[in-house]
Formats: sequence, C-alpha cells, structure tokens
Amino acid sequence: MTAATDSAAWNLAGTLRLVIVQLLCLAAIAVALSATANRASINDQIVWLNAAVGAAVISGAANGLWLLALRRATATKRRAVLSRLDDAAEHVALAGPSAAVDERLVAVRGMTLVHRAGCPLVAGKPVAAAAPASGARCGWCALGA
Amino acid sequence: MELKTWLRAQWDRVVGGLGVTAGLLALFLGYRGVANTPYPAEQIPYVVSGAVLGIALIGVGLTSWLSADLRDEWHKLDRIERLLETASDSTNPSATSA
Repeated sequence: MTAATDSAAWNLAGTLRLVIVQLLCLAAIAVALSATANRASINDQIVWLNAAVGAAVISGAANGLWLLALRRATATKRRAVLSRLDDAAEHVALAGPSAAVDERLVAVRGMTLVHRAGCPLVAGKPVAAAAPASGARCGWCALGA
Repeated sequence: MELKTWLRAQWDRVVGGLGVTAGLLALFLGYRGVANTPYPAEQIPYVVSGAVLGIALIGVGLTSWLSADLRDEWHKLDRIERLLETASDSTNPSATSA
C-alpha cells in the first residue's frame, strides 16, 4: 500500500484513519468487557453492553465505508481501462482495411512471429521482409487473412 | 519466496486470516462461557468478549482480506492501463507529439 501509483483510496492517511478507528473500537469493547466483568448488577452491565455493541457498529460502519471507497476506486480504474480498450479496438478496426491491403510479410528482428506489414503490433518497430515459412504467423493480423 | 518476504507482501491477508481466526475463537469461547453459567450477570461479560468482540474481529479480518483483493485488482487494472497507454503511444506517434 505504499506504492506511488496507488489511488487516493489506498493512501497512508486513509489507512491510518481506519486503523485508528478500529483500534479505538476494539479498545472500547475491551473497556466494556472489563466494566461488565467488575459489576454484579445487570442494570449496570447493560449500559456497558450497549457501549460495546455501539463500538462494534461503528467498527463495522468504518469497515463498510472503507470497502466502498476501495470498490469505487477499482470501478473507476476498470472504466478507464475499458475506455482505453474501446479506443484501441476502434483504432484497430479503422486501420483494419488498409492493413489488409498490405499483404507483404515482415518480422521484427529477434522476434519469432511473421506479421503483415500493416499489423499494429509492428507499427513503429524496425522490421525486415520475411518469408511465410520463416516463423509462425501473428494471430492478430492473421485473423483477417 | 521466503516467509518474511511473503508476510511483508501479504500482510493484509495475514491480518485478515488472523482476525477471522481470532473472531471465531472468541465466539466459541464466549459460547462456552455463556453455556457454563446459569446467571445472566456472569453471562454478559462472555457476550461482550465472545459475541461483540468476536464479530468485530471477524469484520476487521474480512475487511482486510477484501481490501487486499481490491488492491490487487486495482494494481492489475493499472498495469493494463499503462500497457495500453504505451501501446497506443507506439502505434500512434502523433498522439505523443500532440
């Protein structure tokens, strides 16, 4: 939880706040336990029992809010990734017909796959002409073959 | 992986497991304490230490465990997003200069 790339939900202050609330609640329950053990009257004990239940409810609420914040952060990140994937798929779909026209086969030096020249996976990379038998076909650009 | 390294990397799951185990143990001991005495004044401390404390500890443990799962999912999504960003930059150089 200390990575610099963590979202705001996992920051140190938020984690510390949760830990402090939980410790306070557990301490309150421990005090209530001690108080009930030292009293013989049920009427006196009920007050402390109520205090313990209240502390447990606060602890549960803090946990719930924490998990909601984390879930929100994860959902936001998931939406961002899906949006990028959507953009990438659109980009590939738009580039598809022009890539299909270019039937020359190329390979990136040091790699084992043979691509079409228009394959987005080799875009911007140093490629050399390749024979069909010089390696396995790239699954991405071979889809439209 | 060494145990110490594993414990450091998975500390929230360790806290989760310990919390749930301690909570279940408190519930069991509380139940036994309540069952072994007929006097309500003697049962109430067991209710506080067993039921209330046990449920609170189980809540803390489950929260810690779920938090670890969500954090892992967030990190994986973050890695995918960065890879997509890098791929997008390499296939569309004009985007980086814009």
